[in-house]
Amino acid sequence: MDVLASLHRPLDDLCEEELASAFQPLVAAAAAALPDAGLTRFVDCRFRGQGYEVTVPAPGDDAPTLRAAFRAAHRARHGHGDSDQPIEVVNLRVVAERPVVFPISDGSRRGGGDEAPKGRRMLVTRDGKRVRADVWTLGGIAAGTLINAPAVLAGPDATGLIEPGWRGTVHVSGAVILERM
Amino acid sequence: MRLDAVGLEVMAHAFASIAEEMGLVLVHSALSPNIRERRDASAALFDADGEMIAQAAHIPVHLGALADAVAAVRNLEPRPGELFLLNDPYAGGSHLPDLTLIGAIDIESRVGGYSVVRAHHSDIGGMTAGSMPAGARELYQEGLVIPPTRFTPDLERMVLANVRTPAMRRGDLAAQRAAVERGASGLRSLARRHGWAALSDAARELLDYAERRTRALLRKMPVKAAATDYLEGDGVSDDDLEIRVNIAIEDGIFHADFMGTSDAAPGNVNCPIAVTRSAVLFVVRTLLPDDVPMNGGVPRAIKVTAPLGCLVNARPPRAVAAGNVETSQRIADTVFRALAAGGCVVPAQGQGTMNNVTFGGMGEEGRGKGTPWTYYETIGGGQGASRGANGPSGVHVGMSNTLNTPIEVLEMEHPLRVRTYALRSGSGGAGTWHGGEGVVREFEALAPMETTLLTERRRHGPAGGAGGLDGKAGANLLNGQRLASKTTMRLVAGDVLRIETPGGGGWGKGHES
Repeated sequence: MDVLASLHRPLDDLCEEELASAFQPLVAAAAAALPDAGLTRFVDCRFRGQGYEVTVPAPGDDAPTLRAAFRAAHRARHGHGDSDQPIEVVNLRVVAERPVVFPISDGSRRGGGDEAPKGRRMLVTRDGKRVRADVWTLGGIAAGTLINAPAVLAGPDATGLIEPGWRGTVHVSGAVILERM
Repeated sequence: MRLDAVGLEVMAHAFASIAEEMGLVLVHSALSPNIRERRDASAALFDADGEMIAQAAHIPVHLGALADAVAAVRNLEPRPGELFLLNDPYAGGSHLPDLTLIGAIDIESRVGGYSVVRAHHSDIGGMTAGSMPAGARELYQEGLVIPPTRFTPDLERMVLANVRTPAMRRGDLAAQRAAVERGASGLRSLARRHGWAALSDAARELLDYAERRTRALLRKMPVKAAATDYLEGDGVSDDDLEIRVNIAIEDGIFHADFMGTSDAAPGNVNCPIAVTRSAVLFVVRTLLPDDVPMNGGVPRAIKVTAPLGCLVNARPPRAVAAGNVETSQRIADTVFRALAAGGCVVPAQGQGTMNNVTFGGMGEEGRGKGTPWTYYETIGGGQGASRGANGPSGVHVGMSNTLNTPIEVLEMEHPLRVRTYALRSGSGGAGTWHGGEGVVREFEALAPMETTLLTERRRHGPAGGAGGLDGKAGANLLNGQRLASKTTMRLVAGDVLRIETPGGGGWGKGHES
């Protein structure tokens, strides 16, 4: 997760103590929100006058290191970094990262996921036919399950449609492999 | 190598994605709001023969005219890796604020193509802040003229010494140069992946394919028709100026001839022929299906002629600042009108103006003590309705395609306050389908400054189509008093400038029932 706070200041005006103390509440908030996470600090910077920022790691608080890191990152992204415009800090950012065990179905353990569709619904295919389709919860289907078309794969962030003429097989990773029949 | 349909599509997108990336490098690292927020800039890739391979979906009036810029640079026999700057409207440019940077791409020690970025800089010197003066009578009054020239640190110093906002220009030019270089490195890496021979074959096939598709469409729609439309003055006088076009679509060629158009005007509504070609290309492009790639193959099927020295084929040193932004709109309107006269179904007229507003001053201190600033924007309006759809409201129409500057950015950067920003209710023409609404934008000056308006359709509202009603004409007001359509004036703190942009024309007689 990202914890972000705006701090719009010329980099040259920012002394080390100020940056450290501005980061303090973000570090505390990130640590509280995600215990046992690794925390990394970043600053979003730009040349004065620009409308977009480049995010650079800020392991320390000294301005010269940040300035050099920003110029290098700006050069890598945009192809130039020698502007004589003053550099501005726009946001402070703390990223908290912790490895998670992804809830995937385990192929060796059948029953670790759905083996039957969650339901059925009517849909209209591209050629105008009304058909009944199985609805599956994407990510929660047992490995090895065969999915016959037409079917709807309802994921947490996207919905997939398996049209007639295709068939799906659920891989151990949880992915659905589609093949033309 | 002969590409199949899939291969052709993949290569078209590979080229286009390089142009898109060039545009992103520019807007993400430029300084001026006109480039970074409004995106008044365009990027394209050309082949070694000077034909456009791909463009990013930016500004129509730029894109159609870039081939002339590349041709002007090719006359200088560029060497691989060289970089050129130009803005001379009579040698590859459009109007002076549009600075065009062109890189001759080094591929295997030869010029393999050209990477081109045109961006509207909000000052290039001349008689008024922002370099979009109303009432200019000569190109020299509009700013610094840069013929195609190798872009060296010395040239950059010379340019920066002639503009009001050198730091901003330097930043924008650095971003523009990086965008050109991104285009070059993109094409080189594509060449490494596919081999240069295969890549240039693919580019040629794409051009031929676009030409074939364009000609095939034009063969199906033979038209012979003429139309006239008018500009409302040139900033020197208020008299209408006539644009006359005869179009003939025959044997797969779209020929637009501007015989009968007014002579070049004393003021700055004149167009170099490149801008005129760009407006005609825009109209033809709207006739093509979406899947036809936009490249140099399309203009192969278009022929544009105009008497030398007329309004739409002006000669130096005629002034041109408004030609690129206003006359180009009217040329497109007139060509559409001719298509309608020839029996084609075309949309009703849109706002037909870019509502150019320029501000500039010496900062809040005044009397030379402050920091000079300049700002340029165009304002959206109503689009014309078409058969089957209402016209969208508050959008750019025709030759422009910019965003707006967010109020927060405008107020943070410049001594201006936006008092009103709203749709202009009731301005769209009625019809079976309604024309889009115009926009009201009110600026309050917070310091003394200079402002220029270059606007159109303040007298003749955009025409409705197929019996639909006209959109309402726009209006410019200073503290409630009506202003001319094109004017330069000084503002004092507290002055309120109100711009009401035109509504689009309605389509169909549905309003009568």
